Amino acid sequence: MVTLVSSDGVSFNVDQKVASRSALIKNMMEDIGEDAGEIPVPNVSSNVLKKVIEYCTYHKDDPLPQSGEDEGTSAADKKKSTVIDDWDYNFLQVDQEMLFEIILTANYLDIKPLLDVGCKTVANMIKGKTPEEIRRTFNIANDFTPEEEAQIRRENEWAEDR
Amino acid sequence: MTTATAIPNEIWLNIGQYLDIRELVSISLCNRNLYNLFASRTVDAFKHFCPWYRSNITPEGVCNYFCESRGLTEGDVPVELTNSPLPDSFECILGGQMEYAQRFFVDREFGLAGYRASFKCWFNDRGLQCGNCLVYLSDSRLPWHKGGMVVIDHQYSLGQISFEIDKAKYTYCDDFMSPEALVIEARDNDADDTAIYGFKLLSGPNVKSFEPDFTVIRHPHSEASTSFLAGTHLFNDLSEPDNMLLYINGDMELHLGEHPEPEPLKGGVVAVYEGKFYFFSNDKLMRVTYLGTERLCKQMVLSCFPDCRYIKQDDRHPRYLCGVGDGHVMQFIIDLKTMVVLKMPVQDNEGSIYMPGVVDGVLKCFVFSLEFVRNKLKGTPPSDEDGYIMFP
Repeated sequence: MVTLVSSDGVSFNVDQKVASRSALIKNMMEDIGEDAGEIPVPNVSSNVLKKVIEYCTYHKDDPLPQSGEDEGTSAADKKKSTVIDDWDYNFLQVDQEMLFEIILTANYLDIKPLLDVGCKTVANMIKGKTPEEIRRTFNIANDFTPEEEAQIRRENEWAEDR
Repeated sequence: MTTATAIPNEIWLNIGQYLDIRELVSISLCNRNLYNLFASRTVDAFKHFCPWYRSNITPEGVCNYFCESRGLTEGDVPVELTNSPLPDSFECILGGQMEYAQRFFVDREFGLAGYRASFKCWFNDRGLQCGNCLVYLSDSRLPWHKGGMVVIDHQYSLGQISFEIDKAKYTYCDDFMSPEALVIEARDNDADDTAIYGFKLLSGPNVKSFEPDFTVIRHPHSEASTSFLAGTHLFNDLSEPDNMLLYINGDMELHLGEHPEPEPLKGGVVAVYEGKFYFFSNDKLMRVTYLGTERLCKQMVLSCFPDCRYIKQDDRHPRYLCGVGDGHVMQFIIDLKTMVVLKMPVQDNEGSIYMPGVVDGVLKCFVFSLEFVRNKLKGTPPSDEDGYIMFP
């Protein structure tokens, strides 16, 4: 067992196999050895860490992604599939703040499958939306100049076709 | 509170991997950071989405491809002073057509010493070809531009043209030509349901070789299909039964979507410009934009030209479409870049000859009085047989 300590001081006792879903923690455990003890996770609050541990526990027996698995996939290649497993889909039915916290944590702890499914979820939220709808959905400020804005205003007509 | 603004760019790029080209355009139009972040990915994705887009692809160009909603506005062709000599860089509209028959001409009557005769006058970069006389309307007498000609190495027998590619024998069916390529469509002699498209590029190191630069073999979808070539890109227009545009280059067979309005489109594609298709039929000029697989194309009727007989795209300057009416009178030029219909001055036999063309990238219309051309013609001896163009 290994103990993960969140930024707000909450400890979680986790099976090493579960903790190893995080490449960052796995490397730390390998560096420290068997007596890993407590591992601080300073950037992650307890409620988010709890969710991430839930994900890692469910997927603890999944094969680990190989490093460089995506190499050779150029940006020009076809877009990746956005299909999400039922369990993952339900797992990520959270508010937007929690979704982004999970994505940031997956990125920080280097949990690639969780990062990918989080990004897929955001991508699915973008699909079918106009730029203005995307801005509203994600509270993105429009910082184009009025001239640039006028140039891209024509997007609205296009959006009606969707 | 963690919002999308807290998401680092590397994660946005990860999200971008799950977006198609239209979604990439949408997200990049949200703010400046996302626009810059997805610029190169948008361009890369668009190269795969629309490989027949012939202009240099920019993020702005991609946005314009999807967002363009402008119709046509009207203007007038900018007319130069009467009888101003044609500049040496003048390239007349439709003067560079690879197929001679498509070169623009007007029927004119000229009175010479009491005798009036009718001539077909073909516009040229240097002046007018009147019958077999080359009437220079430029000050310098640079060589007459005759357009290109491609000779196909073939054997003619029993009414069929046959040729060999990789030891297989094919029978010629049709050919398609653009300034950049010649494509020969043929059927495999041993397998009639197999068509081969031999692509010969008309520039590059192998241009003098008789071998095709590359070939595409495929099963024809429909006997009723027609093909058209834009640059080096070949399309099948499956008018029956499914009104489908099909892109068939290389290993790619891309269904571009159904025609939204099948009947009027049977006139076929008159132009492809910046990835979009332009159809002219039943007096209507339509723009059709491919928006992705499994989706209908977006169609927009740009204008109605009831007196126009046909519309041709200029080979050398594809942004220009030329509308021709009865008597082969050029009625208008459409600038697809600015979406303006430039009306030609009204022509009559006693008036002037108008020669629109491009000078150093700018469209201008040179105008010559008939009297001026008559005087020039008087002093012009007939050209040698190989000096002028034999038109059908």
